[in-house]
Amino acid sequence: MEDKILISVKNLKKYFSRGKDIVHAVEDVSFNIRRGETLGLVGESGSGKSTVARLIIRLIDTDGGNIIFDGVDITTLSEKALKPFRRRMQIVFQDPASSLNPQMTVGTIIKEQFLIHKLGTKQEQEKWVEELLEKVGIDPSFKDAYPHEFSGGQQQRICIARAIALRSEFIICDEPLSSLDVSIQAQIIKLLEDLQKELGLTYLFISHDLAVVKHLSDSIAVMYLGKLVEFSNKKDLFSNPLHPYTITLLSSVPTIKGEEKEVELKGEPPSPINPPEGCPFNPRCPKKEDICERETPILEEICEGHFVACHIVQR
Amino acid sequence: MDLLLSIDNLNVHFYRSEGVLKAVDGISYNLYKGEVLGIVGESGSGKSVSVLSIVRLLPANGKIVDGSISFDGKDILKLSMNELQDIRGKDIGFVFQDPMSSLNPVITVGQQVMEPLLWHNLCSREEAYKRAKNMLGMVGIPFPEERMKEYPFQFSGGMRQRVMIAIALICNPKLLIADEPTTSLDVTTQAQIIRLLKNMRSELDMSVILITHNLALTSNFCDRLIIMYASNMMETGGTKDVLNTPSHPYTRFLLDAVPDIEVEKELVPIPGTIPDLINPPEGCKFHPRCPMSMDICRAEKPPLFPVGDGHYSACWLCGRE
Amino acid sequence: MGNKKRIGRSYWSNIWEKFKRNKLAVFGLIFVCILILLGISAPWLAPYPYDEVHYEAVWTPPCREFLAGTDQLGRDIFSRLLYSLRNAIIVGLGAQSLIVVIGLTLGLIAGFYGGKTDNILMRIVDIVYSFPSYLLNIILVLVLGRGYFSIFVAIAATGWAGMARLVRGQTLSTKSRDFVEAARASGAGNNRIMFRYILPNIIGPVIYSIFSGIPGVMLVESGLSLIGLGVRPPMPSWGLMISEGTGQFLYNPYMLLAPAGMLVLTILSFNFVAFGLRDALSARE
Repeated sequence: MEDKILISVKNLKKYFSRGKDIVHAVEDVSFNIRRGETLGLVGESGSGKSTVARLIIRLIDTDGGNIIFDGVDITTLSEKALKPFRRRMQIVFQDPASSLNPQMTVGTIIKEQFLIHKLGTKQEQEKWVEELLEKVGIDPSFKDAYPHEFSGGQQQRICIARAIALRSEFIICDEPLSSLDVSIQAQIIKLLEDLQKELGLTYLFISHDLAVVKHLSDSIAVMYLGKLVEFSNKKDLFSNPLHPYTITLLSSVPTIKGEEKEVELKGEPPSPINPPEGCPFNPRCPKKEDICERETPILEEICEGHFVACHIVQR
Repeated sequence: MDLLLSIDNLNVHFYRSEGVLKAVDGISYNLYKGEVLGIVGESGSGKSVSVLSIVRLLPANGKIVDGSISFDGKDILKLSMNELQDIRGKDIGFVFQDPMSSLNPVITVGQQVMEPLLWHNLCSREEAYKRAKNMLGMVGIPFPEERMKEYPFQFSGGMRQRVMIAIALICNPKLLIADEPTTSLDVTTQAQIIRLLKNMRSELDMSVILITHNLALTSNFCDRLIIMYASNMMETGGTKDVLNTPSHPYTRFLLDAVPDIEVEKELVPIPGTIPDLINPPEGCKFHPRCPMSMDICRAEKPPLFPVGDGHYSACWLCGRE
Repeated sequence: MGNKKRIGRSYWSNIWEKFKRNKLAVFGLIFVCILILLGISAPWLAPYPYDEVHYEAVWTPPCREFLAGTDQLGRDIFSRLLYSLRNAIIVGLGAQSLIVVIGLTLGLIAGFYGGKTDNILMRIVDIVYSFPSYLLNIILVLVLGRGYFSIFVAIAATGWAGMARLVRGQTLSTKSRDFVEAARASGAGNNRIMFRYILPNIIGPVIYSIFSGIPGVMLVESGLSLIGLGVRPPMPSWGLMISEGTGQFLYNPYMLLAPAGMLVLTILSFNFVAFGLRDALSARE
């Protein structure tokens, strides 16, 4: 059972200091991702989900907690020791145009992966580049073109090609669809799905678009103000959301059927500077009680595989 | 119903170094008093340009080359700049996508809400102050008296958007144009803003044009829809009709290609990309991506064929029935 | 697939296309190239050696023999102009090169590594920046003695600070861009990131800075030779010629007009190129 878990995140913490203010970006977040599955990480602005992504892939360092990749604690490894792990995990960013070096041809950008890890001869590298472009649906003869010569959707495909170039096992997708047109999004979603099936990839899919997350994910983690408030498999989360925030969130998503079902949400999205005492959601929670202002709830398993951090639910 | 806005065969071009970009290619529609019209399209569809043309708010290299626009009985294209500025902000209010760049960072929020009243000489300064305070309260900003003295940076994104709405509505306009008003906001804030717009619409009994790329957003709010693609109108009709019985292939594909949180379905991506409007395809602009395209689609641009009560589709397939 | 105009149209060919559209900038560039060619070939093009005196033809107005006339010692102004041009170009390009080498290196290091390194370097930049540069130039030339080398050093000693600041700022803003993060996530080392990811993307503003800096350098050199601290006479320099010409204006106005005119033309051309570059680099359509 244990060896099926690829990524394990334990008690992750990250604070940023802005002058004398401290931004509590990530506060004690723990979850596991099994090999081959997609974990959808949802939350609104200030939830800390993008920070979690950058912590896992070690673009920034933690202020506490551990990141365990395939059984190895990579939290404090040096860059040199980390390099083989970097091969095994990659990231696709939100804005494909700024993710590609404007001074390099598309072929060179992908080839960089091989150069960095010293893989293959020159001919092999060229061949791999062409195969990768083909796999993501880009005509390989365009490998000498520059990023700005492609459309947004094509640029994102190139980013995906780069991400799978090293045969990585784990790919973080940080809002990969947000800058793309609606009719292009479906193409990229399909590409990600096909690649996952073909290459046995594990995804951490971060998005604020719940409909897309529902489509792609196996499990879902909901974050609010740096904390993990609910974690469950997809079916249970959408059919039986437990945390008041999750319930509000799901009811706010517009649907084609368009029935009015919003749960009234008071107030404004909070700032991660000076988070409230106790439960982070308490200022806006319709079910709030006294204990919520005093004690921070801990994530507990309510029913099989369904975790919630809420005093009211835990009773 | 009374007619408020009538657009007939509007053509807008942009003059770029690479050539002429035909951003809006002959669209026509009417808007009635009290109606909420949703204009849905992706980037390059011409949705924003066509609506900004209503008050001739185009960038320097844009030009209305053909067509007519009639607002509240006035011929917009014949108005002088003074007459046009009289309409802007007073009879037509605007809410744009990014509230941070739409608000002046060095002027207080209260001042900015008062300005439309003062610019149009609608009342005295004291009266404007009272109305601004009132309006800020109506759009859901707590403690309006204090917050009027604050600057935009002291407001959150959702609050700023509410301020934008206050500015747009302060002169009690006949028409509110909201161009992607919730795109940069969180989902929960988006729901609040849409609810606010709905309430204000019935309070002030005005018409609304909502421009968005999100079909689901229109479902609860709009009475009628126009689906635009690459400078043309593809389909138009009552919201329920268009969403439940879409007629145009593009609308159908759009509905199939976007995941819905309530409906489990197989996503069907639309192949290809949005066409280049400097050298647009001949005939129907969607034909290069349409699996049902016929010879006539490649040759001639289809007109809007009626497919139901008030429901039209610009597709040769519908012309046959 | 793909709505592209031409394969392999790099970032730079785009910039070049935009630059070409600016007629003033293109004219400036042509003129700059002509000037550089003239300057380099001064020893062969000049009809007379710059120090050859013609006592029988002092203060001659322009004629067929002396294209720009002669000065108070009968020296051919045209030839002296050519040699001054050569001078100015050597100083302009030479000092700028030194500025670029020092400023680019320090700015890149400060911006990339940040932290204490950045702090220390930037405080040094602040100190150098706040020196009255002209004064420092004078002192350095007096200390090092006259000649090309000391002028280079004098100008570069204060000039590098502006370049370092520019490069540091550019490095900082490029460092946080997604494609650099992506490279880091792939395991790219510091050197690779600095030279293949950051440097090529900050070169644009650096080139602009070079082009707009050359006129400034030329003016500094002219300023130094105006007060007699430039290159040793009889080697001519615009500043020197202007200084002499001012005094002798009544006897032969061309002594002043010719070098002043050349100085203005040269600076204008470099500036036109700089403006064109700036517009081409920043233009968004």
